[in-house]
Amino acid sequence: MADYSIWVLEYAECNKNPVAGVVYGAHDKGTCRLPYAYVLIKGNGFNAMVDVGYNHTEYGETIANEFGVGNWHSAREVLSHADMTPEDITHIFITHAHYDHMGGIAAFPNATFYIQERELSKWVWAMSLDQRFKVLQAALDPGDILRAVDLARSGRLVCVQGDRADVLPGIDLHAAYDTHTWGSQYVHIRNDGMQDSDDGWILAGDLVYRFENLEGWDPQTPSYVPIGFYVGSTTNNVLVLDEMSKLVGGEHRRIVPIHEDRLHQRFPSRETVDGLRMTEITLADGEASKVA
Amino acid sequence: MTYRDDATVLPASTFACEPEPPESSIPDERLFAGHDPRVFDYVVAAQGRFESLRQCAAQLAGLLVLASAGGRTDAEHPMLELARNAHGAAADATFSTSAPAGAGHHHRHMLAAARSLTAALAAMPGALSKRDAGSVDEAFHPLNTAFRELQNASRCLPGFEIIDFEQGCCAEHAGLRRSKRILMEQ
Repeated sequence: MADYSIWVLEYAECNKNPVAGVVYGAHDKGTCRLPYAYVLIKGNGFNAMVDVGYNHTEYGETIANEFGVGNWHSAREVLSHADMTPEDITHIFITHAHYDHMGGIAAFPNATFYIQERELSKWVWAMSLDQRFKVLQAALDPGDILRAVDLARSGRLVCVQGDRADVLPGIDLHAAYDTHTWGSQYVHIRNDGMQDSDDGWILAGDLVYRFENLEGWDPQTPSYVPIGFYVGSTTNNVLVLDEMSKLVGGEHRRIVPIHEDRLHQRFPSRETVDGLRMTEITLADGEASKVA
Repeated sequence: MTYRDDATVLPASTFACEPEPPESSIPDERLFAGHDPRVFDYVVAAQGRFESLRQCAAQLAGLLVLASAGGRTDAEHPMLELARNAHGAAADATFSTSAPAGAGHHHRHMLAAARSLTAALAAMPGALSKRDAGSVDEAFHPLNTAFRELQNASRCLPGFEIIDFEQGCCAEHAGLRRSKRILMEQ
């Protein structure tokens, strides 16, 4: 019995991302395609998402021209491949406050957003530092915080403090403080609804970029390799990999990295538009495949 | 009929402040290679002011989101004083600066941003202490305007960024950012 269907939906891409930017110490590994994606969760009468992509209107041109991030497609277009519209989305879990995960919040007028309060409060702290500390302000868009004010004014922003079980039935939020960001969180779906689930799926945000973060470079001697960019500690980034691994009984395929270009090698997938992919992680009972 | 600072006649739509469709990098490069070193001097001087105003806006936005989401804030929050300081010197310098031809459009957005931030700062103590919708709105609206003015300013001339993408993980870093390259080539 599975309660939720899960799809990873690519909405943009960077074709020459340094591997070292996403896998710690991989300075000799060249570049890779880095898809930008969010996750659609459907089941139990809810339509939820994990993250919402970046704000193409405000800085799409800049990052396309100067950072090689492009091929952006709107949430309306991307979600249509799952027979969904932005208006259908009821719950959105923001894993962290970087522009490519939080920038698109204005496109979802009916959703309630969940973010760790620490992610916001430490962001405020970072903004109090002078320009010598600008590395701590990287990838943060003040405009996203203004849009969050708008959400809060309309009662659609929930600031979570630490772990929260059953934010939706069978879906837990786990805080991962001082890892990729100060208040990152990841989503654990217990798809059989059991407390000690045998059918768990983890949507990792940027706590995992590529399979190597969980499995290392050598299949004979698997090991955790931290992500390539973080403001927390190396220790915390490795410990959270282990924490997630234990939650899914060591089955690393159940930890879903949305920036992983090779996701389609492990799950059914199809191209949607302009080379972007839609990957079907699992299907709820009675749900028809969107990639067949 | 609309005239640019250098008296070039431009269509009114030039000043609509909407994001222009991507054309090419030629206009920016031509601007700096345009034989007027005063524009370059203006950019170098204005970058610090822009950054301070951007920082002030970001700090106020952060405080407002905490206030409106039920976080701990009060009228004496230390961040508010930091925002005032960031705004003070930058606004004074902006108000007392005269822009050369070719930088006037940018400067007008800087002036508008500084003024709107003045209004937002004045409303912040009420927003942080009362936290009701009306008080938050009094700060939110001028803050929103200020942020939009900064965004418009960032599009007028190269060298002004709202978000620091350069430090992030998810980007192609092989090519140096165009605006910085232009500046460094001067």
